[in-house]
Amino acid sequence: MPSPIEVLDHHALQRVSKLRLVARTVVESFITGQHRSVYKGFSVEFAQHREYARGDEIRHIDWKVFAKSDRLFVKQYEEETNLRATICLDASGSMRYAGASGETKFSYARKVAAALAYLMTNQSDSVGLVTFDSQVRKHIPPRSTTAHLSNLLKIMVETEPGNETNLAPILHDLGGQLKRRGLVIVISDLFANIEELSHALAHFHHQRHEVILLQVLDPHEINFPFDTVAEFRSLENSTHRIKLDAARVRKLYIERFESFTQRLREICHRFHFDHLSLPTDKPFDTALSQYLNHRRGR
Amino acid sequence: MFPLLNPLLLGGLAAVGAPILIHLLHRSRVVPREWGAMMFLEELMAERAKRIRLHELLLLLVRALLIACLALGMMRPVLQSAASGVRAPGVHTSTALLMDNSYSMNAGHSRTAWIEAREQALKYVDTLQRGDDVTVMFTSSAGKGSPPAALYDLDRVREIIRTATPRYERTDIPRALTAALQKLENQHNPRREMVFFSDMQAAGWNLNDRARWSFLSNTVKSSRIPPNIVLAQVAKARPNNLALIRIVPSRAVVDTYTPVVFNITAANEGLEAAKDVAVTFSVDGAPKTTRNVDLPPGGSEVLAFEHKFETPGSHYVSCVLHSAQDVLPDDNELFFSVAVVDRLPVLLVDGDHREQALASETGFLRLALSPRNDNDPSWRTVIEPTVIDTLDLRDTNFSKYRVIVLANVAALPASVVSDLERFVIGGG
Repeated sequence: MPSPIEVLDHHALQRVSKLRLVARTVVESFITGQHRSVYKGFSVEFAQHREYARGDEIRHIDWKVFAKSDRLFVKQYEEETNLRATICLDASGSMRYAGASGETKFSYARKVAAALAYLMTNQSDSVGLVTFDSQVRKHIPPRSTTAHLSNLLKIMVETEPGNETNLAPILHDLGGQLKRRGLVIVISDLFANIEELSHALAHFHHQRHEVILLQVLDPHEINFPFDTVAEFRSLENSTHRIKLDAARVRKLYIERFESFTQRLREICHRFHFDHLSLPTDKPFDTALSQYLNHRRGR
Repeated sequence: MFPLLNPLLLGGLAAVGAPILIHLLHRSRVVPREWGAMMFLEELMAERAKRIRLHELLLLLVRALLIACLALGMMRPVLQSAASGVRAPGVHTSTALLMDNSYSMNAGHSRTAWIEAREQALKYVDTLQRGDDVTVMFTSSAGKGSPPAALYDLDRVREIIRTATPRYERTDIPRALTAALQKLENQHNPRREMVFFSDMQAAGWNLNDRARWSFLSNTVKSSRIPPNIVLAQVAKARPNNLALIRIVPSRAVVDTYTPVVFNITAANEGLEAAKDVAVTFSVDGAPKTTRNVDLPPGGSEVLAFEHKFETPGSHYVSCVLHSAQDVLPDDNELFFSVAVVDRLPVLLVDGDHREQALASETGFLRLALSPRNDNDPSWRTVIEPTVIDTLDLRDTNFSKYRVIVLANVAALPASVVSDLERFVIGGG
């Protein structure tokens, strides 16, 4: 089992640390800077004052303090943050698959999740974590502290993939549990019934969450390069086996797979969600950097 | 029924099992593989499992059928109708052309049965087409040794027919027919034909040999492709043939002292009577007597010629029949060799020997075999008897004698018995 520090790929972090994950839609926060707030005029529990910075809403300026000190301060509240992000890490059995690279999809996904958590914490956003397989294993609400990040990394390290996946219902339920709008990052192979998945994503959309689907795939799952008769044994259910001539069904498999991916893209496009495919034979930081730069430019 | 031209390749059908075996081996060589994206395979299986399985079974069936067809094709099955029916373009024929080349085929003056058979055989060959094969066989040699090769070169077949001649050999028709049918059995064309050109003379048919004719019948019945059998008679059933059948001497031992009679049988095998046929009797090539004889149709006469040889040794007598109406001269002359002796040594062994003349049984026998003529000391007979005692047997050379008589001999030593056995075996 790797240590929490080992989960963080430092070389990769160096490349992505200068990036920023910005919300494209309004988020439920009050803080200055990168993300627009949806709240206007109502108060939550006061925490402290902070000096005004460019971009802060004028309405949050504490005019009384200004009158006394002739300096501009804004009120800061308990839930104050730039962004509330929830990373949903798929820990189902199918994530145990390791193809030619020898690295399991879960290991790869865990690194991606750690990098994103680090990135967002580093930019003062709060990050939560949901690990799941057939049910939710852990649900850590978003926080933005360094101690929280350490906790998230520890949980990621302790998580081992197993059991059957139940992705769509879990996402659907999660959509209802996240009370405030925010960013939901799903890191999974997304092997689920596409219509059920669509239904779950629609729920997020309805709740006005922004969703990023990071689809972690092994190259074997994309190309299906086998050419012998094989008995495919499910990583999630050992009794589930399918025997077939791989070479003969390769074309059909690839057609099916591409059809699934295409349908997934269409659903994401409809809900204005992002979908990023992450093959495990490619360094995730490269793809992530391109994606974040692209996202920032929009 | 589909007769097979190459039944030995029947074992090739076992190759049908090869695709099935490969299929089973292929199935057993399944590689286990842990997999995550089962949902896509499930969809594939749900949609195509039955179709793929059916497809595989059909493919297996087609492969097996292809091999079966290949094996069957190599076995060359033929339609029974094609095999036994009339000739047709594309249906090739294997022919066994059997020609009777016994000397009776020389019957006829200018146009012998052999010439007619040859012409008919050549006409038959002209009817064959490219791809037909012919095995030319003759009754004199068919069934002896390896059969001749089947020829696809019809010009070579014609040449063999043209250059062949009748032989003075014993003819065995059942053996020749059996050999021809067995030769056909090994040929490769779907249609089979055996054509036999003969004058159909009774000699050589061995009609009483039921076992051999039964064997011939079974050979025909057991043929994979029953052949068309054509028997072509090339001469009149009974030509006007006169023949000398045999010469039989009146005695087994011919000597220089007494004449011997030679009985010569002349026969008329035709349907017309032959009158005043001259038969000349010769000794050592010198004509001695000529007699005329009338021979009724199908009848025969025995002519007796008497002759006394003057010198001992080997002689021969011959007889020639002269007839203008005879169509087959080959059987008009007969020869008979004669070994003439001037003495016949006879050993008389007496078990009860007495010195006095006519006191013992051998005394009487000696006198009977060689009587004396007191008036003519030079008078003598061919038999020269010698009387010995049983005790003298051990020192006697039996090879000097032609006849040995054992009279009142109670027992013989073992060595003498074996010597006597050798004497008998040697022709004594």
